Amino acid sequence: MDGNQTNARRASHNPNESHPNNSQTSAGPPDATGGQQPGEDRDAVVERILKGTDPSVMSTPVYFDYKKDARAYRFFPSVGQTARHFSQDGSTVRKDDPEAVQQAEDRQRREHDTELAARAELNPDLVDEGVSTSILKNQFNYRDRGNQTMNNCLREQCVMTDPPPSTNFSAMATAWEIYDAYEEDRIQNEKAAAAHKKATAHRTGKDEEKITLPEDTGGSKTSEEILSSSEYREALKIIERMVNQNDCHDIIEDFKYWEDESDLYKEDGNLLPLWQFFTTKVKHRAVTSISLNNRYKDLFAVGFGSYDFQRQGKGSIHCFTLKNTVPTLSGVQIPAHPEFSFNLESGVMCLAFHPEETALLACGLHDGSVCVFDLRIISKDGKESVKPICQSDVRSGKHMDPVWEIHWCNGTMNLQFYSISTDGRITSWSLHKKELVFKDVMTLTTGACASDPEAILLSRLGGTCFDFSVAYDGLFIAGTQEGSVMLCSKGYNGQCLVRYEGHTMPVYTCRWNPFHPDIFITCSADWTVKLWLKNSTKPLLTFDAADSVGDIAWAPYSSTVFAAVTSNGKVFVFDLNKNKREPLCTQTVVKNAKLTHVAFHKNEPVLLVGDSRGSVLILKLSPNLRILCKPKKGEPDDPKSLRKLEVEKLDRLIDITLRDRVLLGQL
Amino acid sequence: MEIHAAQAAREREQRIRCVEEILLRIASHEGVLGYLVLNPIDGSIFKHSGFGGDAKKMQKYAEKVNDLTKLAYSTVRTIDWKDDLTFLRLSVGLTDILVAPDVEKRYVLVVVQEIKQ
Repeated sequence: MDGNQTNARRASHNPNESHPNNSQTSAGPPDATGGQQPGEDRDAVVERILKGTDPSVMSTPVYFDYKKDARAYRFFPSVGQTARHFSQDGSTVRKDDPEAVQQAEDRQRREHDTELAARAELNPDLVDEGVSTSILKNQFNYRDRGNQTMNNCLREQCVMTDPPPSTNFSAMATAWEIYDAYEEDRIQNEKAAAAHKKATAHRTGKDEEKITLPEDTGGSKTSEEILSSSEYREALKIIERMVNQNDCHDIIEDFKYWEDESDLYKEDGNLLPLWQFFTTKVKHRAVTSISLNNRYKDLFAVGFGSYDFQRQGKGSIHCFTLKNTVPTLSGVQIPAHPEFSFNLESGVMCLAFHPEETALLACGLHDGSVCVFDLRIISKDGKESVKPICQSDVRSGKHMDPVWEIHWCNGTMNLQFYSISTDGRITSWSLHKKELVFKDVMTLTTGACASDPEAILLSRLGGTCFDFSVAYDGLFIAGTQEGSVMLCSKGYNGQCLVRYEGHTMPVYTCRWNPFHPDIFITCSADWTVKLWLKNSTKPLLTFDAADSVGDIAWAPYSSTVFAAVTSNGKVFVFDLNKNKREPLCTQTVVKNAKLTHVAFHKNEPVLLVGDSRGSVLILKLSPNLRILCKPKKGEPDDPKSLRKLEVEKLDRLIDITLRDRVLLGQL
Repeated sequence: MEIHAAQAAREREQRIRCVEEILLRIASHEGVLGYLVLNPIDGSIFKHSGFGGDAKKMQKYAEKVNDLTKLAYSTVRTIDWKDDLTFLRLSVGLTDILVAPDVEKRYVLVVVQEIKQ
């Protein structure tokens, strides 16, 4: 009964160990179970043993072996492991011990010898028998001699050893430092090799070149020299452009990415004003010309002069860049700073950049001169006037009236441009060394044959504008002050090929279409813009502008889009593909000023508009004004095919217009 | 020899005048707090303008921007060791710090500008 109770109590406490407990309980008494646990702990202790060695003996002593073959330090074979607390050697011996017997025999022998010696001293016969008498010590049978080895005296000496001096060093090895060191080493090797070659050549006597050492520049430059270097000026230019860019960041965003969402819901478009370029150096002068650079798309030249016959002053040319723009704040106008400035004695009437040599800028003046500037020649900041590289004078055949337009020749060997003037001459100028050589291409006349000298003079027409055809080599159109437009050729000097009658007042601008070879457009002071077909002397289309039209320009991206500016400050943008009669956009961009010139940017969809108060406005076209022809599915979309599509579009328009005229009976 | 020297002197004067004009335009720009021209070797100031005449503020800008320019220069040349740092622009909130260091490490141009909202 008691055992059962014990088992039940343990099972309730340790249910997992019930089985081994039962076996242990059945095997032995209950006390053994409690005693095993300390035993298990004791077994885990590190095992130690007792040895018979003496712990005070730590190392094996060493002795020097003096044998001839050895002469080395040797260890003793073994070390005694017995420790002695007290050790005493006494002088007590036993009687029958061998040592005691030996001592007694020695003593007896010594006494016997002493007795014999004493008896020999007294009896001379014993001396003859050979008995020794030298028992007592004296200086002849006992010798005392001192002996000592040579011992050096002990000295104490201190030695202090200083390690080599050390310093802390920290550096960083970057890729560019490795590259710089490598490049410097390579350059020095090349210089050494070159010097060696020169020395060898000199030694052989083939060459007698002088090896001049490079002059050492004075140490470090002063701050004044640094602040007057050209690199410093370039850095300042960059900084100025970035400062202006920070101020214009919203306008720049519009310039690149503005797309008018309202154009999706209407047919017409509008123009977004972006910047306004003007400079305080030009006051009370009109923008007479705008010319875009072919290579640097952000650079454009603006010519300043006067269209007022009564008030003629000096002229100037300023080249602006779209990189250095200033914000057009409301109410406040900040002048932009031109990149290049040229001052001239007479008003600038026309400008043209060379299409390939983009640093050459030709301009025509009000006094009939033409001159050519090179932007690469030291361009100063307007304080001192930069001289043109070529300028015409009376001896070289300058015009007698203002030069209204200039065009560069394309693809010729020498640099050549054409100019037109109100004196009726169309002249070609060739740039030779230090002079301009002129040649009259054509004289504009009414075509009436007369032999009277006065009648010949009276029949001269004043030329105001001309444009060369890209498709037909040698053909150009010319507009006159009398309102007629003529198709001329470089080959025929005396007369024009076709005479177009339609305008009644001076023709300001005539332009060939950039896509279609047979279409050109003219604008006039009689408030009209006329579209012409090359083979017809009547205008194809006439657009009324409600004021004198200053300039027109074809769009470079579409064959049916052109822009016109008028004297009441309005800009018209036409798209003949959408509306043949009304402009898509009519917008007043300036007040109290006349608009004089317009130009399309070649890459960006912006317009450059010049007015009569010396400002150039940058206007962005909305999406409806720059819709392009899209090729159908399967058709190629290379530039040639796109150009063909544009030509077909304009051809379709011409056919429709001609058919309408036939229906209306206008022919 | 004298003609060349005179011509070089005239060109130098012309360049100095142009530089002065550009600096004046930058300093008188609306929103520009000031500009500094630093010596990158020791961080001293060659020329300064603006900052309300506060020399302490100028010195602080000079030290911080000079060290940052060196770090940026090293970073650019570590990525491509033939490349050089020509312009560095920091936008901190409504303030822009424009830095134009010289490739040959002769000067560092610093302009501090407030950006309009």
